[in-house]
Amino acid sequence: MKTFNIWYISSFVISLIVIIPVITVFSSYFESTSDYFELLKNTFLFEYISNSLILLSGVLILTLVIGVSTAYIVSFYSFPLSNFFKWSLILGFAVPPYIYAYSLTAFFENYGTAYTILKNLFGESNYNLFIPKFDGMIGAILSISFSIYAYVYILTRASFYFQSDNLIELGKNLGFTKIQSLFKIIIPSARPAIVAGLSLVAMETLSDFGAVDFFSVNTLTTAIYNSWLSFDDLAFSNQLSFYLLIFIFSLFIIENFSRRKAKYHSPLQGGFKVKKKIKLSGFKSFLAFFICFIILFFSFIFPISQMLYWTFLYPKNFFDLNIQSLIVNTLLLVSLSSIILIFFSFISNYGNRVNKSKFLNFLTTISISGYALPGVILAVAYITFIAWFDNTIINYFEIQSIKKIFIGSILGLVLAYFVRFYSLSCNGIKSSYEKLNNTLDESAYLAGYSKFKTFTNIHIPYLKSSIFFVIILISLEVIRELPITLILRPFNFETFATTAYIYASQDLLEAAAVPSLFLVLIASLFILIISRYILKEDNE
Amino acid sequence: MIIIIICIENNNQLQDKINDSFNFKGEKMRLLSLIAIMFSLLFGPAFADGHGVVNVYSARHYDSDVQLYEKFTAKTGIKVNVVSGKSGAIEKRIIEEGGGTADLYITADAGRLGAFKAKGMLQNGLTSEAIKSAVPKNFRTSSWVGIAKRARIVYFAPERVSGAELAGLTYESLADPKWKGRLVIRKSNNIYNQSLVASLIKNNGKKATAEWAEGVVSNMARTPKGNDRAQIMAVAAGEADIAVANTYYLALMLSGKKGAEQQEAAKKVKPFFPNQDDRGTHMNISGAGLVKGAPNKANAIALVEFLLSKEAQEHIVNNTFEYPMIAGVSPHELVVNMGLDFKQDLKTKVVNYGKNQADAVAAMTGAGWK
Amino acid sequence: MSKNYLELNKVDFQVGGITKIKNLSLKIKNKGEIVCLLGPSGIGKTTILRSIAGLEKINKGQIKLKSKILSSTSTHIEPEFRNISLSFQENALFPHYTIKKNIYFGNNRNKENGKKKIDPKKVIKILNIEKILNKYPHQISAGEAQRASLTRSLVSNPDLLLLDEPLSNIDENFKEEIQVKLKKILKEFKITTIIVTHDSYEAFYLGDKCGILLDKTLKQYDEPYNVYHYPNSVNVVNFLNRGVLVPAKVTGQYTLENDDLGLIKGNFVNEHKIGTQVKLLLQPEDLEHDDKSNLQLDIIDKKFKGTNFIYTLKTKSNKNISVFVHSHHVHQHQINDKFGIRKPIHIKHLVCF
Repeated sequence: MKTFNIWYISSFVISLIVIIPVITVFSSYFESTSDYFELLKNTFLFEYISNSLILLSGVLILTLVIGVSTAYIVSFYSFPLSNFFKWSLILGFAVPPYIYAYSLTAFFENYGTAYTILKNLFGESNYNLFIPKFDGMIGAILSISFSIYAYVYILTRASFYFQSDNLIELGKNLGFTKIQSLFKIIIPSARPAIVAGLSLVAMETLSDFGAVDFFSVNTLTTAIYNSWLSFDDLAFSNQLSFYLLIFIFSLFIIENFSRRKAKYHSPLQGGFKVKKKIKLSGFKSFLAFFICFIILFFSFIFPISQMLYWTFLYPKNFFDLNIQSLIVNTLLLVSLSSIILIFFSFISNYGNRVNKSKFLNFLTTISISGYALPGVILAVAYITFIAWFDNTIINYFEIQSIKKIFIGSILGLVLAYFVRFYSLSCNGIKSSYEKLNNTLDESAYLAGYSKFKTFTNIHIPYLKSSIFFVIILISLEVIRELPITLILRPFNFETFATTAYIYASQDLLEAAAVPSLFLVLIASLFILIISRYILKEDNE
Repeated sequence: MIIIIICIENNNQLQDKINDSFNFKGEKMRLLSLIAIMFSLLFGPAFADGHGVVNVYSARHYDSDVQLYEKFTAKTGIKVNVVSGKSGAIEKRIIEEGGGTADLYITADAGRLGAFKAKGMLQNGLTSEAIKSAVPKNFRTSSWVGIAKRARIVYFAPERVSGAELAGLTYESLADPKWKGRLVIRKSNNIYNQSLVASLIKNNGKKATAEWAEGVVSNMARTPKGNDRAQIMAVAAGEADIAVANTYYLALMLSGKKGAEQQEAAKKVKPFFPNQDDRGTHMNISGAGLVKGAPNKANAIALVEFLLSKEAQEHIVNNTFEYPMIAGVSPHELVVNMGLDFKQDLKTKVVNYGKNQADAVAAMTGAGWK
Repeated sequence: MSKNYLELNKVDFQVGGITKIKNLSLKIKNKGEIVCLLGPSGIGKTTILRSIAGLEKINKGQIKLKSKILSSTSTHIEPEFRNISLSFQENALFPHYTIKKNIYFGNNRNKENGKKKIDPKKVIKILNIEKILNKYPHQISAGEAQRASLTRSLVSNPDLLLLDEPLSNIDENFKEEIQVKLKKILKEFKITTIIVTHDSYEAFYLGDKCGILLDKTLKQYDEPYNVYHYPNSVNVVNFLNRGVLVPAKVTGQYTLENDDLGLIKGNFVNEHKIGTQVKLLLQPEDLEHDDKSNLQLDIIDKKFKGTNFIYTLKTKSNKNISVFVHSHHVHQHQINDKFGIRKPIHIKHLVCF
């Protein structure tokens, strides 16, 4: 009884749900692919892989430079608005890569916004040939980088922030200049954090669908999607997924490992004092301000302005959009996913806590791997699995088909979100749950509190703020999420993300501006609410 | 989810414990009602069947389409459920759902409808008199019909391309070395290009078309990128001299819906209808296909018939700038201005676009057409 | 009344499948007694407390409190139903509650039991934590946290109080004061207590009885005086770091003979036959300094300990022995000097093995 209790069953079910898409991908790895695709395989496979690698290196370099430099500036120096930049630099998160891509195109395309500005400033002339065209690969790199550099920024900044003053003083003591200290002491000691940030960036980049699809850059992810859609070659699509997943899983492991390493940097209670920032003045102060402003401008102000401009230029789109129903839909998805994710995260975390079993821990580790699965692959695998299940198992028992319940339903959508975002919520709860020492539970038992009462009176109040934080994080991810929603959503059901995508894919970028704007504004609001947690400075 | 709840219900031991130490009754009722609400939310929209509905899977998502469906509902009382997306994803979902949900598949391009039919996903049934009399034979089959027409034509910059150069221009002559570095066209994965090349294969054969594709690739002014409108703007901006794009894009730009700049840009290019001296300009359709296993077949046919009515056709042409499918309806004024008296290729049946699609892709990719 | 208040009968204590302490039997006769358990770290002192509290199960033996079986091979009463309070070694304050709320958290059961109440205010005052009541655990020092945790355990007025290294984080100069106060409270409210500590002086002061845990067993369980003066085994001697054992031969009813030190007089704690070879416990305070003595040994080390010096001397047979000398002693001997020891040597209790 003890070894096979409710916690095992539930943790097992959770990990099973998460692992199904992965198994689906891997199981069809050895199936033969169609002859027709043989040609494409030979001509394009190399292109897909090299495109993915180019995209990845571009984004990694750009996010590294942007993330680390801004983190360094705001951590060590004080200059006008430096406190404002500290949190506003994470606003880029609010703009998903595909929406950034729309703005980028709208601004720089022939006869785009840049042309309008130049024409209004300098009069009629053909400026088109002089305006750089940020499309294709470059466009994709820029869109993704400005949207997700904040991963590097946040983690690096946290590492800088908690770096002991001793390190910097040590540098001074050794006679290093500021630049030498930066490269020889500060950055190397923040390396685990930087690597963790970059791994997240790499995972997001490889699983990005919206931006690369918009710019028609054929990466492994779009190739998986296309070979599944256009050529019905699920086996080939799954083979590509197999390679991609192996790559992503290794990043996932690197990330987890580096995170753990990065933890060593955070000091024990009381062992940390707020660092004095160096006050800049004159040109240096302006330079620091300028760099931060440029990044904030490109990551947030620029796309927002472009969308606002369009909304004002074509107000009809604003009034035509059924904003009310989009908000209701978004709220529905957000609340259902949050409730289910939090509920199961608690089951799994609490189960781990009271059971202390290695096997349970292993199941939990499996369950968080869903995040490594790109949304597109997840959705494809989900449908494949349900169809297979329906065709073989359900048909065999001759019962009602379950496809309608699981495909094109809110349930299906929420299930897929569950797989994708479970690691987010489970880890979010876990990280603060683990800080709640086990002896606290025992103290409560000894004070006469039952397990259930301990859970409701001690755990829940303690975890209140992390539950809130996780809910906001889930909401943020759900409203930004595109490919899963796109593939699995029910009839007459749109979110801001799908509306923007559908308009954009119909060459109606100006109509995509309104839902994009709403999406970004809601996301910004969420980010503002949790910026305190993200930039945690009280080390709690 | 279900399993977990069952487990909680059955695990008496746990429940006893909970009840022992905590008055759980009130909480439990609340918890159960919460679960009930969640279930109703989760499963609620999953059952969208009914008698007065038609489930449309649409790869076209213009706001004007929604208005059109509303008109249909007002007229017939049949509710139109829509799920929209890119055609590939829509098709895939219909296939995986395996019938029983989708009634009508609406998409642009006969090539897509043909290929979907070839996969066995469409059924016969669009054979009512109303449909047959409205749609010319070469724009319909028994399982899918055209709703609106478009032509894929050449746009040129009058400043840089003389009338003499253009005279007698055909799709075939786009491979002529005189256009070296002057031509822009979309990527090979674009369905409009695939259908155009499929029609060339039908008319000229595989080998000639493969050679043609190589000529076109060597004439390109840039690596293919962007949509049709971007090709037209590239000509306006001086990046190239001629572009291949569909008819309605220019009208869209001229309408001012894309802003003053694009309106102005559109005025810098002129349309040219190729192959006037032989089979005529390449025509394509937006169409609707009757999905296999459609649960609301009659409603689906009724919707197609409505889309082919004069009222609906006028609505479509004025919003999307396509050509009407039925006689007796005039295209939008801006489209009329581009010229109506051109020769349409009515010889090459659009059903060939789907049939020759694979060969078309092979010809283009073989030539290094990105 | 022959019933014991607490009884541990032949209990094996285990944690994570590893048996830490075997076959332990221990009795507390009356309510209000204080028992201190001493032992090296890692021996399983904490495990004993956790098992008594019900946080670990036992699979051999029996734990009885007030004649009621709490744990045995077949029964296990959950910790929340035991009314046993455990103050953890590490800070176990709820981080999201103020110190005050933390303390009153324990008061919960106090009311339920309808027993004589312990006024939290009084304990708070005695342990001097009024100032931190409205602070959160992360805002106070480790010593303050320990006192707060102690207060929480005390105010629940448990049937049995278990303290795990209760004063380990408290400043040395403040420790003695707290020890006095703690003992006062425990005695005043007659709280039966088991204290686990590694500080033998703390154990000797607080405990009515002391237990020495070594090699998975309870080696000695007796009053502090007896444990100190009459250690019952070589292991206990070594553990308490009480001195050195030197070989000696019993020469009479009150005499011993050692090759290096000569005649040693005193009362034997245990009986030894004349003529047997024994090991005599030689403690630093047993020897007296005398420059005129003919027993002169080499000084190999000298430590200043404030109130006294400790000289380490080497005997002819290469044994190191320690001697205390009052620090006002006029002679300041140096390393490598000779050091005289008064003869004949007289030791009050002769502890021999």
